[in-house]
Amino acid sequence: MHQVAESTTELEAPAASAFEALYRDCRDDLFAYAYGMLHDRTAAEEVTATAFERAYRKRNRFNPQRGSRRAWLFGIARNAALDELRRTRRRAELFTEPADTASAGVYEQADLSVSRIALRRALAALDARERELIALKFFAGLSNAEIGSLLGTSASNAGTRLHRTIDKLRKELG
Amino acid sequence: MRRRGRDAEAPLDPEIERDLEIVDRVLAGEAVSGSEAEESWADVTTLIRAERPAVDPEWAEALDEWARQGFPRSRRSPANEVMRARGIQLGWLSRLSDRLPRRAGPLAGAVASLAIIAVVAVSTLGEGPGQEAQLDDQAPMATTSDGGAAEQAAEVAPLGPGAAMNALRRESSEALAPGDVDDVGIGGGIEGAATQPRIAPGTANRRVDRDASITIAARPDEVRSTSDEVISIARSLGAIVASSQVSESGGSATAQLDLQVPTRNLDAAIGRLTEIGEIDSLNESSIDITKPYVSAKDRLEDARSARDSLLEALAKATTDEEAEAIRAQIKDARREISRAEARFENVARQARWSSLAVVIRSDAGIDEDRTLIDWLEDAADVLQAVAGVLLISAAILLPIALVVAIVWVAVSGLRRRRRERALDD
Repeated sequence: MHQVAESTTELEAPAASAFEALYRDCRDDLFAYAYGMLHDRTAAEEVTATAFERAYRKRNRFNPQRGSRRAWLFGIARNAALDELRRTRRRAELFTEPADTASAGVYEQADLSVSRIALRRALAALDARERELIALKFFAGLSNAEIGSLLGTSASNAGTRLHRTIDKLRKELG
Repeated sequence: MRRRGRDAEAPLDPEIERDLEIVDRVLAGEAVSGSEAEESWADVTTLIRAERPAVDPEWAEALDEWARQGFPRSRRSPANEVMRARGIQLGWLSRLSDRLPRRAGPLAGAVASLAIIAVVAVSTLGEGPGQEAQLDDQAPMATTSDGGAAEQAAEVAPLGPGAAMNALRRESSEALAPGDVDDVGIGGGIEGAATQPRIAPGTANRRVDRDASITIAARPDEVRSTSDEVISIARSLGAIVASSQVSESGGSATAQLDLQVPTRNLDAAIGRLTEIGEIDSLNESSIDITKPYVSAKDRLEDARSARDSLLEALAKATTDEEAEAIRAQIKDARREISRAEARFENVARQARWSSLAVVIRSDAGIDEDRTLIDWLEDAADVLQAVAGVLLISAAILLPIALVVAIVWVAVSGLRRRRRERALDD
């Protein structure tokens, strides 16, 4: 699981350099999370850019007592993604990007395709809140505690909901 | 992120905790082997992780560049830039968001607050007795007959010395009808129409002869300039400088000015004069002349009535001797009318104009009289005025701020609920 250490030294670093480090660490994860929420590459790119811009403007307002910097960033990203979701009201669609399977070998590709198609069907069957949990855990790499903080619930409750969602997918895959 | 009421931190079920630990280990890159269930969890974790999308390198490069420049507002977002490069039409909101300044709202609020404070400051600190005097000066008279038209024009606008003196001469020489609006009572009251009935003292049409004298102390080298200031004030209030005299000898100087001030502007004149220097003395007197005024007016009306009756009789005269006798009586009646008009005008002028004697005497020690207490009092006056402005501004701005805060809280709560509802398919 990816974590950004919130050491004392890092917290005391100037806001600009700390933000730069946060950007480098979280850029791809944030995009992956946004994509997991919206299932639209263009919208995910826009949300990612918006989230970083808002975070940059608010970088001096970060309060370490309220959580990790990473969780703070994803909180901003979540709001941006929900705003976009509300605007477009898109539902989950099947993943259809052929590039995702291009790197696999021929035999592996056939096997992966079956499993991944089944997984994608299962993912599409999830409701938006469950998809968000998957995106936060598997795409954004947040810990259970960070997920709980982001969703306004406890770490154990977030863990329980996450377990339920993963178990649903696992059972769909047989 | 917002923290609502959190559930109590209950421990996870051991089985759930074990499964989630497997997920964390696989995501961390560890190989997991064990029971079938554990491997099933590891497999699904690997599969889900594989669905993680990769970023578009072109877009990533644009975002990195934008980030390097500190996300400037003038720069379009990388997504919009890439979309434009791909020929994808942007929505109107995306195009608009590229152009709007971010801090327009807070700036507008700050400008509005400053504007409110400035308006309050100007209206609170800008009022003075001068404005009231100007209003009096410009107040039109109510009604007038044709004989009073010239006087109305002379008394409404501030007069130059020559014009005002001509107005006085006209008042004494021209015939006036008793109903002419040619004078004012106490406080600048406006007289009614020409058919005003005979009045008694103590009513709203009371006539008072007011006079005042004021002595101002000034530094010896400022007596002349103070005298000029007095003349300037007098002229601005429609007053006439009947006489002025300035004498200087040795280290002392004295100025004496006799002013004729429209009675309705007398209070304003005294108020403004008290502000130009130290006041040594101020005396005012008033004499009720309502009875003489009414008496003169009645006498004039009687004389005119008698003349009119004689004219009617002349028209009905049957013989030349009778007509000649009536003509002689008419002649006497006209002389009586002239005398009555002169007497009435004299009384009316006493009510219309007030004498104001201004003496400016030099006082070399006038600055030495100003103590630290005086300066502190002046400072306290300034602070009081500033505090008044800030208090009034706060009284205006605080309710507005309260309303804005309530609206902001409501909008924030509504926005949060709408965002959460977006997850409800």
